[in-house]
Amino acid sequence: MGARAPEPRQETPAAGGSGAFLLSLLLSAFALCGSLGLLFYARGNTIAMDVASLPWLNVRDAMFGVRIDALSQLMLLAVTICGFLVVLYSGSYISRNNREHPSEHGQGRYYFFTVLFIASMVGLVSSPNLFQMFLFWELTTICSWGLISFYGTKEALASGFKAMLITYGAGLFLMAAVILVYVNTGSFAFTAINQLSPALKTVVVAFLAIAAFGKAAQFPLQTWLPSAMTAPTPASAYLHAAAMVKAGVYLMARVVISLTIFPPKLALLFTGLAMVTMYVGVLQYAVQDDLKRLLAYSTIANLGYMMLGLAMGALGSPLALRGGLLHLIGHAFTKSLLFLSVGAISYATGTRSIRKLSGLGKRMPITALCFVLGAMAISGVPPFTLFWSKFLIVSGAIQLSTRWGIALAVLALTESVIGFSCFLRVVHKVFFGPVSPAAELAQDPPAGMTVALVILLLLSLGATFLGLPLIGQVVQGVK
Amino acid sequence: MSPMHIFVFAMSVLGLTSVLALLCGKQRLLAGGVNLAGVLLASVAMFVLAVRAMFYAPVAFSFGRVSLLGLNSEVIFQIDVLSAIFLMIICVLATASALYSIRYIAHYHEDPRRYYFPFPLFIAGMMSVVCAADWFWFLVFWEVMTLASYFLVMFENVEESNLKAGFIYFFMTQMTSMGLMLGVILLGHWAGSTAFAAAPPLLLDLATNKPLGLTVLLFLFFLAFATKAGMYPLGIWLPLAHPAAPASISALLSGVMIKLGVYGLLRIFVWQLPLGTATHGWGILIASFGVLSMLIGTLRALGEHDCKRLLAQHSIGQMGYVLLGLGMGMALMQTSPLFAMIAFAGCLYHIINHACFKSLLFFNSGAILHRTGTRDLDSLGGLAGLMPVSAACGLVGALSIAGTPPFNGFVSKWLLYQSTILGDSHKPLYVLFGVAALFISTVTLASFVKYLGTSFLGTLPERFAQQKKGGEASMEIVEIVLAVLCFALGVVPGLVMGVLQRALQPVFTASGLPGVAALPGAGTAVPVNGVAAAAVAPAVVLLGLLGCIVLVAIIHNSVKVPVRAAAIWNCGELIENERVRYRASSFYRPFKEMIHPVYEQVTLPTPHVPKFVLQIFDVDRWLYFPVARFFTRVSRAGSRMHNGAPQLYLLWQVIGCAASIALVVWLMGGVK
Repeated sequence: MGARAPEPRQETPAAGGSGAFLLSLLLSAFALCGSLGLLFYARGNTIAMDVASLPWLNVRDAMFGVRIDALSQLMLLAVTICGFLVVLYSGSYISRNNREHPSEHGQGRYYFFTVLFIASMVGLVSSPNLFQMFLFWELTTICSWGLISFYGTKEALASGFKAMLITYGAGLFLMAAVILVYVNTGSFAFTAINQLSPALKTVVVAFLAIAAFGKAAQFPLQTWLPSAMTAPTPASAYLHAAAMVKAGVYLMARVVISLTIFPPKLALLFTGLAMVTMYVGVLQYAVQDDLKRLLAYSTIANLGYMMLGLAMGALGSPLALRGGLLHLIGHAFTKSLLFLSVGAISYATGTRSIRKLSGLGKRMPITALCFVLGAMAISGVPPFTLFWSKFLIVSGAIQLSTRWGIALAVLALTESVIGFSCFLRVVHKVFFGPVSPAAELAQDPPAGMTVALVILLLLSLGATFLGLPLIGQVVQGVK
Repeated sequence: MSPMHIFVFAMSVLGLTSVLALLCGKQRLLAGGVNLAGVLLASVAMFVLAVRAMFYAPVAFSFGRVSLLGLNSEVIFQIDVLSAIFLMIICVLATASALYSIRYIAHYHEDPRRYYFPFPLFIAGMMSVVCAADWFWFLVFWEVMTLASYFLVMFENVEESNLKAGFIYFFMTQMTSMGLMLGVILLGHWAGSTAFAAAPPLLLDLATNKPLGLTVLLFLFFLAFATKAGMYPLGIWLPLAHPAAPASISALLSGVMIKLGVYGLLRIFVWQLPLGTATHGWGILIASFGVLSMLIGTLRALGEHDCKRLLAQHSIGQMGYVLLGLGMGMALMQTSPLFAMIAFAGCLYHIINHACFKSLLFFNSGAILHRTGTRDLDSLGGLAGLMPVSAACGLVGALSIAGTPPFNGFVSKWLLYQSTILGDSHKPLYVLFGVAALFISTVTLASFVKYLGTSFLGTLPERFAQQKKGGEASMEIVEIVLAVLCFALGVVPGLVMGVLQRALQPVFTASGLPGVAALPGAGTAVPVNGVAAAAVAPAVVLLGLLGCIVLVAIIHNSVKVPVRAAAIWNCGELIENERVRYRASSFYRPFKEMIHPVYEQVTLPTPHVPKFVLQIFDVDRWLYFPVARFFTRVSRAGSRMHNGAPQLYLLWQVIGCAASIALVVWLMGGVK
């Protein structure tokens, strides 16, 4: 599915660019249709298909193939819907009308990495075993490097390198875990981890978690994510919402639902780390001036929420697991919405600085609506999806133990309130009030971008209905 | 149609109205008309349900469990008499506000879609809140209502003060809603279900086995509801948000939404909390905060000269009365059910009354703003000549809020005085509460003398002299209807008391509902030891008033004092009339100076994250970058040896050879 769009050298950028765009749009639409079709085709069943094995390795099951269960379908929805919309959006965003980056240079490279990214995410979530997953895992690392350093400035290159280094370093632990599992059980299957001795299982789960933490930007491996904001905004949206970071969450979720007994001490540790991550993210909100960096920290905090749900799910709370997974899909759409709104702002005004922007609501009503409602959605205001997921996660905490649960719940809700107040402040500053000079000439972006925004807005409301049936199947499977 | 169908119909109509408002685009009047039609239709439907619940039997229906959420909660609705009372208030005021909005919103430059889209959703949220019979869904509707109301408050969002108001409003309510969410989760966890029906047994169990758990739970609910109800000091959002919102929304916020906070308190503390020691303690607490809100809110109102801020401060004060009634009812429930019933009735009656007169007054101030373009009482005067209908309605509203017979405010306040002063004569605190309430009534009157005197009476400023008389008919109709309601509720207290007693029936199952005698002419009397100790008979009052009016007319006509119009004498100096008017800020100055601490605004410090905390979390700073720098330094040092001189390379070769030989020798076990 990873299609290579040829990079034009001699042609005029616009002509080759639009070709690359159309091809990518087609391919991502194809992926989207595939995942939606799968939803109807599978109807709650797991689809498995073996393709090939390596003749020199002695493995029981096929090493390459496809295995799509409810969790994979959930991820596929996020990956392909966001992917398609990001590509659609990019078509208008990467243009000479863009005030922040008025250039169409390097479109081929951009679309190549974006589509490859979608492909590698699709491959990752439909992998039947740890081995194939690892291959796609590393592929996403490369794609993220390509996109983060896309603009080629010194800062972009450094950020791309940093992201690559941290996620690759963490990825080595995944490799180690894969090898440990294979050597000891002769299988690459996710469930093979159950056959390990308790001590070894703890080591393997810890290794897998380190890899997941690297991708999912969990403390202390979160630092690559804010600097990755040098990527083109649609790419950031994809990295943050559906792809890169969600790969980490997916791995964690996969481990949680595959293990019959999750090492409880590790689960407790992960709960604590998730909590720390949430605060690492949220405490940075207030000092940010760049809208994108604000969103980056919000991603960190929300990933903390997801990991909290999953970790408590591992401790035995089905409600928390449900909440963690719902948060995953809800966040995918909501965060894409916010990033793409910020992209529209920088497209129209040439800046992302909170200080410089004011009164945008008057000039860009649709974008304003999307961002303002997105901000409400990310803060967990009903009826948006993240309200239900936060409710479920906090309920899960109470379900586990009243005393500790209350402490966790209070911490998580406090985080929500702090985050909410920061987002509300930004909304008031940027969209309300008198129109600032930077915002004077702004207007809503072209149709391609607006359509993507509105669809994402609807999805951040509707993800609950989209996600819950699948999540119900996942949780049922665990019981 | 079954109740469920009616409910679904009403909600669908409201949802559809929102969507239609978007389609209307920037055609203000069209959007307003569509909005009115939708809201009216839904209100009529819900009113029918409310009447059915009030006069026949409670209405209940369920949409079943949403099993996918994995929660033990049911989408269940129940309309009992209590809900019906609130539902009726919502229906009447929503329609009134929708009618009023048509002309009122037309004078704004803002995009009307920003008003008419959230408006029906706000109404739908409020209606669902009072119908819900499951705490989880109550929370969901509660939040939807808050979200919609936030967008309505932020309709005008250019001024700094409005931005601040919107922020504080949404932040305060959201913060306490998170507490409510935790409370609901705890309740659901302990009781196994979040249904209303599951709460009383749980609370009983907690009271005996886990008193701390009960306190925490009730505290979380109390915090959220008291914030919404505008209780001092949690209600600091109220005097900010009301002036920021358009008058038609202020009327709904103050008239209905803040009452839903009291609805929540009534549900959890009176309907669900079984009678016990907790009831008494919480009752005293709520009553004390009620008195505090009453004092601070009303005294602050004396110092306001922005007419909407003034009204908003009064909302805090009047909610103080409502909370006093609620608290006294709870405090007296065990010892004296009769006075508890009177206190609860006073609380509910005052809710109804406040809904009428406060929304009337907000509509009234909106009419002033619409006409003059200002809310500043200092620059107004003599508007009675320009807008006589509004002036008359304003007078009715002012008399009602001040508790003057024969208007409605008097009856509810009278019930509250009865319960506090007669409730338990051994408790001086209660009597003190009653005295405070009496005193505040006077202050309210004083404040409204200022409101009426500086806006409608006096001389008309020059700039309005050329304007023609009369206001917008649609806006005036709303005011007249509410004024009539204020009067009607004041003259037939016996009928209203009948409904309130029916509403309170489920609370007094243990002791049996104590009766309050109905007097002929729809009056009502409180019996003490079988004797009617205190009675209100509006017919008598009306008759007396009528007599007075006739007397005044006779005297006036018979004496015929000549009236001479003359310019103001300014000690011989020529000063414009504009400048020598007695302004709103000048009213009660000595008194205000005496109580100046009340006016001091406490500014809350803005929390800042200490820098070192951020630095600790910044792993780059103390781990990754130092390691990377160390690595770079080492490799740079290594590369320095790579300088191209053959001698150096030869030296390395020799050292390398020697080292290899030494290693081999060591591996072979040394030289033997």
